[in-house]
Amino acid sequence: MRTRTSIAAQSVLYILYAGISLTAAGMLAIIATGDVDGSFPLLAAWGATFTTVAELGLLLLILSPLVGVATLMGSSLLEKDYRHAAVAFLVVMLVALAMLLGSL
Amino acid sequence: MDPGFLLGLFLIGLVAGTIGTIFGVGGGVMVVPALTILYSLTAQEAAAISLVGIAASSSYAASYFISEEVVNIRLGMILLVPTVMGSLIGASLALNVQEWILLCLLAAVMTYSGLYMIRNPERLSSPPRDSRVKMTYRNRTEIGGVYREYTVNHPHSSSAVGGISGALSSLTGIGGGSINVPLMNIWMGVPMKVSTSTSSFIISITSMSGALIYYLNGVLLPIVAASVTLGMLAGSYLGSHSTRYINGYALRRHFSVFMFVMAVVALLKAGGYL
Repeated sequence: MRTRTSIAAQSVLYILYAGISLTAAGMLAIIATGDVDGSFPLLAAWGATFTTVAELGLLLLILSPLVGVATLMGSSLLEKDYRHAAVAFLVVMLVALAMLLGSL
Repeated sequence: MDPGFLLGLFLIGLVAGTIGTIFGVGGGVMVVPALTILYSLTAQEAAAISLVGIAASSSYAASYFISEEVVNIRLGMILLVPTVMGSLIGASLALNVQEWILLCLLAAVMTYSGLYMIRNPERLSSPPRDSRVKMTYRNRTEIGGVYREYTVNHPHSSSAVGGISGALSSLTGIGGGSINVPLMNIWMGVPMKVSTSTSSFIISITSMSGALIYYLNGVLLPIVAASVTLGMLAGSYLGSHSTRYINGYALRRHFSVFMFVMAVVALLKAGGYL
């Protein structure tokens, strides 16, 4: 269990660092150019702006806990003592997913 | 876009993150009133931005605590079920209720947080009872260099309070640590260090759920949220490192006065006087 929790913690950190980097890059570009709809050729080819980059980073920051909890939950299903809690949480996450899809 | 505007938002996040971490109440309690009062954002927009910042900073804290094995993952998963449900319901409600109701709720939560900061009673965990008694939620944690056993009391009845905490968290944009920590420490008998770290773990997921609901409904303002979140992350880092040099507990009473003033300001804004 210990190794698996460490993997969960590490994976959350990596996602967080990626999110922070993208958000900061987008914000710095906006500050430097003073244009929220600004872009450079490579980004423009994808139809993206500096705001898109910052927003993508923000989305990674929001979703980072999900990566950790998914790893933890997966490993908890293998542990007898944790199984009930993990199954209950899995059900709630499925309900949450249904609610999120419903709100789209 | 004006760099000064973005810098101001970053500073709000930085100050809120630093102070919130030092006083153990989280940055959301300061971010929401600051954004609604100084930047005239609606309570929903401010709550959405605050939840993103809280999700990021508490994930960072939780990943550290999990790798240090301080978090009681089993307890966290049990409390996550009602708090995530509460958070989803709270965020959905927030999109449909009038702003003055949210501001009144925010004022109530800030008053409670202020009172919590004045009192903050830490209850030491009870020693392990007779081993013949069947206790499902038993755990060991390293506190002060030695492993101590503790028993988690009332895990199921605490779930209801967890649900309320989750709902309030999404409705007002506060993290919910000021509800979760005393619940776990006083009512459930979990040591303070484990309570705060398990609370970070829970808050990271509940904030994420609330933030996603706001994001998918187009309430989240990306540029404002990015500035505030980066500030809150930097503030959490600063706050966690400055706790070695600043005695947060000694300053808590003074800061609680500020919380009461902000609660009054939120009430005045709810009444349309600001």
